[in-house]
Amino acid sequence: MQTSKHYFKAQLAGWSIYILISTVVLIMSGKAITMDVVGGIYLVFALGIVISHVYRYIIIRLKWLEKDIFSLIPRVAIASIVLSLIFHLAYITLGNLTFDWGLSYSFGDTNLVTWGMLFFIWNLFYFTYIFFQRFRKEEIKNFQLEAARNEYELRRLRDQMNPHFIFNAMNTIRALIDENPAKAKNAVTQLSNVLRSSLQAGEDELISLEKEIQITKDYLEIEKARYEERLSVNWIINTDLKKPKIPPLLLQTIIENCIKHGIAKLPDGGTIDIEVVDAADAVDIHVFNSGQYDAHDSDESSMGLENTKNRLRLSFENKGWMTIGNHGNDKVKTTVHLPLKKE
Amino acid sequence: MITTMIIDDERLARQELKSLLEKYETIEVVAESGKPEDALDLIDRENPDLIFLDIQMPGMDGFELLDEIEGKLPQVIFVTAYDDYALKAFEVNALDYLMKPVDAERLQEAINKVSKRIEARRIESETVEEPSGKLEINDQVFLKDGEKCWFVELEKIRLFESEGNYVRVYFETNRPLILKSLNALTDRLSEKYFFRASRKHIINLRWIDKVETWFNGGLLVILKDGTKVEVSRRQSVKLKEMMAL
Repeated sequence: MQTSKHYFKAQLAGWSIYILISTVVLIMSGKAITMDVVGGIYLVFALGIVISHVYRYIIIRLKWLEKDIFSLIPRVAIASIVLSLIFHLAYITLGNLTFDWGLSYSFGDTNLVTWGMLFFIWNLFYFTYIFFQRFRKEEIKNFQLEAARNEYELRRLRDQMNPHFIFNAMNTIRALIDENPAKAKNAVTQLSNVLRSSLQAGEDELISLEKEIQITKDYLEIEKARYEERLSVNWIINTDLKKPKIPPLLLQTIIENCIKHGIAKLPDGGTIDIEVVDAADAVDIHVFNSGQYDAHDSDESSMGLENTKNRLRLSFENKGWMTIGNHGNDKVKTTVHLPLKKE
Repeated sequence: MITTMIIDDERLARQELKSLLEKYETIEVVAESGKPEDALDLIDRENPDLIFLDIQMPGMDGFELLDEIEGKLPQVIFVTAYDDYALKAFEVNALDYLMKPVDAERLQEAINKVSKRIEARRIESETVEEPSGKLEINDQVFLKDGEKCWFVELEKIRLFESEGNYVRVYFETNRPLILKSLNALTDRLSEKYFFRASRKHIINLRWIDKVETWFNGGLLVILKDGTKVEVSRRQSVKLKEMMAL
């Protein structure tokens, strides 16, 4: 709607400018101002509007508005020639009929060049406007895309930082401030470490296993303060931790799920055993936690699991993987396979 | 004095709440529990006026726990760590809830609100001659139907209607379906206010608008909202006796 309102205004204004310029030129040339000459100028005005309007209709039907500039140039050039020929024929026919000018249809007439120029200018304005519009739309689309990306990023961060964990941790710390100030201080540092890692998680594709285990330990210390005797953790590390790499917070996420789906659901709590062992050109992490694995559990957790599997596959060219399943009738075993990257 | 109980699976969370409650002279924490199963027994024994209830707990969540309470329902303030998805699904405006770590001012507001309600209930129950151990008209019940739940005062409930193994409860514009038998309800509701009209219905006597005679010496009760309930012949005799002073 907006476009066609602008279009009609521009049409009237453009062709009016033609009348204005022609009149000025006519007066300055000192020629006699006859009815025929004035009539001629208005005939161009009327014909210009009608023919260019039909031309616009055709442009829209042929979908020229969607074409790029390079395929438009030859088309517009040919169109300008065809238009000036049609205009030429119409001008002479109408001129002879209404004003008895008695003109011949000769193409040698210099007017033909004028008409060609007029339509060239018309096309220039019209397509400049179209391209400007298109550019603006593209820009809006880009902004929207960027906004969507930012929102995704934000949501990813929020999901990573698990508000449940943060606020429960804060509550635990508040209680510890009275009861055990030294422990409260440690908990603040540990929580800071975990939060910092969450914020930085997007930066590196892989971090050293040593660093990841440190983050996971800090995380577990906070959960131990919260669950007290209901959570016990055992680490068995039989490998050098400096070399293996892991996507940031991958192990921490797995442990968080052990607590969320295992320990937190057991009134008397349970244990988490974590073993890091050498494998052929790889390191395996085995996590055993109290509880039972239910493959039909909520969509949310199975989505998280898929996400973890994807991260491992993508980070290690299809050679990284994880498995999860029940181990006996009161434990869940999760294994993460981390291939060693060749330097 | 408001007797209060704290139910949360984390000791430190209970500790934190207790220390916040210390400055309230009217609040007396009579019991605390980290396990929902134990909490149920404690509620039965202590019969507290108020409970602070965590939502996410192992074994049984806060809502399931309320559903299990057989006797009088205390006032409830929910305490949760995060804008719990569960809270959103419920009739939040009917619930008092606090976020962990608990803000002292919000706690004050919640306690003020609850104290007023407890006070009002006490004055009302003084007019009741002798406590029968059953639910009186000013007691509230907790109703849960799928994702929704309500705390409702019994005086608002007009009608209980049996539907198979379930009972439909009519109050305000709501009609939740709860998994209870009409017989079990009859045993729990005070006879002074609730009347078993037939095998299918229990009506609230305060909601009766008109009583008309019906076929075979039965009666038809019309409630204030226009609902018509047929009274069986045997119960009609009883109702007539009650109405005849």
